[in-house]
Parts: sequence; C-alpha cells; structure tokens
Amino acid sequence: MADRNPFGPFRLKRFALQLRQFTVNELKTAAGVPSHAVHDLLHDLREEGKSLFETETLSSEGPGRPISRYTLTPEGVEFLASQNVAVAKELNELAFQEYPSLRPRSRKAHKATSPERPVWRVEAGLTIKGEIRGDRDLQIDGSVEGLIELNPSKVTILPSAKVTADIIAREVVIYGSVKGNIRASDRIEIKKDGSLNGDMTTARIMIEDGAYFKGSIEIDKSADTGARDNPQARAAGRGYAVHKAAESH
Amino acid sequence: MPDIPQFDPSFEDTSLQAQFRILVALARALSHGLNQPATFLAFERAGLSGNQVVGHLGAIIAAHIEDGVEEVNAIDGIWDAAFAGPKFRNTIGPCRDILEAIRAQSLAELPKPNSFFDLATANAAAHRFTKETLKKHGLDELLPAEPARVEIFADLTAVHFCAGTSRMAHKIRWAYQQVPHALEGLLLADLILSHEYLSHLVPINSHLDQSVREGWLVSALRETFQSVPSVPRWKRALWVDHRSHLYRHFLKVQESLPGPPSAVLFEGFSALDEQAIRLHAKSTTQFWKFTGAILERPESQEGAKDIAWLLYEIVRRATEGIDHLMSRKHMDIDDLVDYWDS
Repeated sequence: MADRNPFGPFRLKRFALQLRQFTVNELKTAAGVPSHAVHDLLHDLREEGKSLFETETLSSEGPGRPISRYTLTPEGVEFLASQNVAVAKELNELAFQEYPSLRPRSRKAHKATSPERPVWRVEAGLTIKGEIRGDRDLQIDGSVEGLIELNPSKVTILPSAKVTADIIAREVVIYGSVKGNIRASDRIEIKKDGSLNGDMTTARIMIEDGAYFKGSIEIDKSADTGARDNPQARAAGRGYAVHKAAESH
Repeated sequence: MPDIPQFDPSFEDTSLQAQFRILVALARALSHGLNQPATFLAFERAGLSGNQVVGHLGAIIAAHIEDGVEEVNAIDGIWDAAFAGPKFRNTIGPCRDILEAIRAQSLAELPKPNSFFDLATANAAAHRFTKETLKKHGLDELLPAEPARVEIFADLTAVHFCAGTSRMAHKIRWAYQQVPHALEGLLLADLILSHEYLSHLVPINSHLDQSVREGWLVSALRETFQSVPSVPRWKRALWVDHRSHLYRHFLKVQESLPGPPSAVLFEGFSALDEQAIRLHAKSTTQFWKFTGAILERPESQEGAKDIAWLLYEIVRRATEGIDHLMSRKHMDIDDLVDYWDS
C-alpha cells in the first residue's frame, strides 16, 4: 500500500483501529475526512490480498450504495497498527525537537548526564534530636534521635552512625545501627554488620548475611500500611509524596 | 445507594444548575434514542451517525445556552436551531421520526427530579466496571472498595479536562463546561469516570506521566470495553470521537500557552495506542500482565521515568518490542528496563 502522504493516512488508520468496526459514515466523521478517503483505505486494504477486514451488508434498500459495516480482522489490526508505528518514529522526533525535555531517557543515559543529587550529611560526632524533613538524600555518620521524613529521598546510615528514629523515605540503606520503624516506598537494605531493631514496610528488601534484624516485615507495593481496607487512607497514603511536596512550598 | 454529587461553590449559581439539567435531559433522551435498534440504520440511510447527531446538538447547546430562559423553552430553542441547521434540515421518514421522538423525550425528561443523580449512577457503574476489569487480572485490590465522591464544579471555558481526580481526598471533580463536547461527556459519563479510576485512582505511583495515564491506560480501558456487551456500540464509537474532540480542545487551550502544542503533551508518544492495540490483540493476558506491573509500581519519580522510557522503547522497537513483551513469563518493570537498557 503506497502512502501518498504518510502523516495524512496516520489519522485515518488510527481511527479505524480505535473503532475496529465502522461504516464509511462513522469513520469519515471520526477522522474528519471525505468519504472517498475511507473508500481509498478500504480499497488499499483489499489490494493487499489478505483478509484484513470483513464486510457485513446492513441494507441494500434505497438509493445509493448499500450500507455496509466493516470489521477489522486480527490481521487487519496488525497490518494497520504496524504501518502507523513505522510513521510514528518521525512524529515523535518532531515532538522531541519542540520539547526536548519530553524525550525519555534510560537509566544509563540519565546517570551519565545527571548531576548528583544534593545530599545532607550528619557528620560523625554530631547529634541531632528532633525531626528531619525535606527532599534531599541524607547520609548519617553521627547520631539522630526523633523522626526522619524524606519521602522522595534516600537515607544512608553509615557504619558508625546510631539512629533512634522512625524513618520514612524512598530508600533506606543501613550500614550502622537503627532503632525505630522504617517505611520506604522503594526499598530497604540492611548491609553486613548493619542492624535494625524495628518494623519495616516497603516494596523490596535486601538483608545481607551478617546483618542483624529484629522486628516485622511488611511487603507493601504501595508502602502505605493498613490502607487496604480503608480507601481514603489508601488514597492518601499513595499520595504522600505529592502531599509532602505541597507542604514544602 | 451512591451519594448524590456535591456542588463546588463555583457551581452554586442556580442558572448554571438549570443549564446542567438541560444537558442531562438531552443526554437521557439521546441515550434512550440511540439504544433503539432501528436508530442506527435510520440515521445511516439519512447519511447521519449517532456521533454526528450528538455533535450537532452539542455545538448548538454550547452556542445557544442562555441564562434566565425557562428550561422547557431553552430545550425547544435548541431543537429548533438544530432542525434549522444543515444536518437535520432535510431529514425525512424514519430518521426525522426518531429525531422528533428524541426531542419529545428530552422535554419529558425535564420535570423528572434530580438530574444530578445521573452522575452518581454513572460513578457507581464506573467503579463496578473498573473493579470487574481489574478482578479478571488479579488487580482488584488496587481499587478502593468504595466509589470516590463526585463533586461538580463550573469550568465554563473548559480550561480543565471534563473530569479530574484528587487521590488524597478520594474525590472526582466533574466540570460543567459550555463547550460542544460537554453533551458527549454526559453520555459517556460512566466511561469517563472509569478512566478516572483506572488512570488516576488505581496506579500507585503518583508520578506517572501522560503516556501512562492518557495513553496506555486509556487504550487499556477502550480495548476492554470494546468487548463488553453492556457497552452499546454507539457509545464505543462516541468515545473515539470524544477523545478526538478533547484533543482538539486541548490544542486550542495550548495555543494560549508558551511553546507549540503537541500530541505528546496530550496522550504521550505517537503510536503508543497502536502498540497497545497490537499487544492486546495478540494476548489479553500479556497485555494485562504488563499493565498490572505499571499499576503496581511503587511510588517513585525514578520509577515513573522508567515506565515512560519503557513505553517509548515499546514504540521505538516496533514489532520487536511487542514480540519481547509476548515472550515474557514474568512481567517486571525493573527486569524489562535492565533488559532493554543493557
């Protein structure tokens, strides 16, 4: 099937795929094209020589063409969709030229070009009592007592650190000692020689050989404890990062 | 019994509520008319489709609706203008009879109490439909057990989408808008609210972008209801037109903002829909395994970026992308990212 202008038929094919079953009148209305464009498409599909659509004659009464309804077969769906995918490459490139920030990047590409996230540090010998909140990553080499709430961030407890606090973060990595409950939306890691005395709620956990852990583990993909039976709490739990972002303004 | 929608202060103006009642009366009558077996062929023989009839009336309402006019007179005025227009003017025979019957029905609907209850019914149906859809694929725990509350607000120039969701408040806000596609919106209320559930209330990760919420998950919804007998054919066809009208309206709104308008801003990458259609046609199971992995992805900005990148790779890799998804026994986002990023 030779496309006269690859972007024009893109729309028509897309609507044919979305409707899957259509009359000429329905497809031309959806795509905003004249009837002959729909007839051309059907003609081209017939020319392929495969059964790309089925025709059902609904009425042959009255003047003009009989009214027919066309249904794409699975082969027809695959044929039209694969044609549009081939054209899409150019359409996406045009969009990314206009909005470079929309071009998705892989983890590798992201790591290669992103500056390191800013990190807060609690140095060795320093003790903090109270609440730590914000959106930066945190490395603790000293002591913290209270609450650490860094929803979008990574908290690393270094080997000589002592933490007596509940921790809410995206990711928590423990080399030192922690007493308190941890909720991490992504994962918790307790390294060799690290210790945790408290409960964990997270999506993924890694505990190395030699690590100490006393407490309970709850694997929760949404990391929102106790919310399964409570839709409002659940919705609120899922939205906590957004909630925190709003608070930080 | 579902709760009746609440009104935002912007919708407390009684003249706006009267306009909304007119829309509901027309939507009820049209829905009844389009559900009749004879309607489809009668319209086709007259060179019309259900979508065209709805579109024509919707455009007239948006242009003619006025404050302070008796509702009955307003509906009569809308129909008079519709029959004076080129689409309906020359209709004869069964097509004309059906249009007149819909007109009479819309007038008969006006005195019926509580037009706003239609949204509550649609909300309950949408919640049920989403639950049943997710249950088939073992994902129903992701949906809150109770329907969200619905609140109506006035957005007359349609700066927003016709519905928006607040997960924190477990609330869906429905916009009363004076735009041609508002009538379509009411006719499709149950499907639009299903979209709000599937795209905005169910996914765990709040950072997911347009490609997921308005792209992949919209395709998932449409591919599902296309095979559900309880969704009438006219509604499936109207959904396609409605999304297209939303897109055109979105472009219009974008024109007033910095930067060129782009389809990518509306629904993500071009041909993502085609790839969703292909995968769904080849295997519903594999499609929902992948969709489930997206929905269950934990809260994380990086995780959302991974998914956007994966979706783009699915488009970029074309047939190979679909073949790879078909070959996966376990669908894990991290594994897929590692595999394609290696």
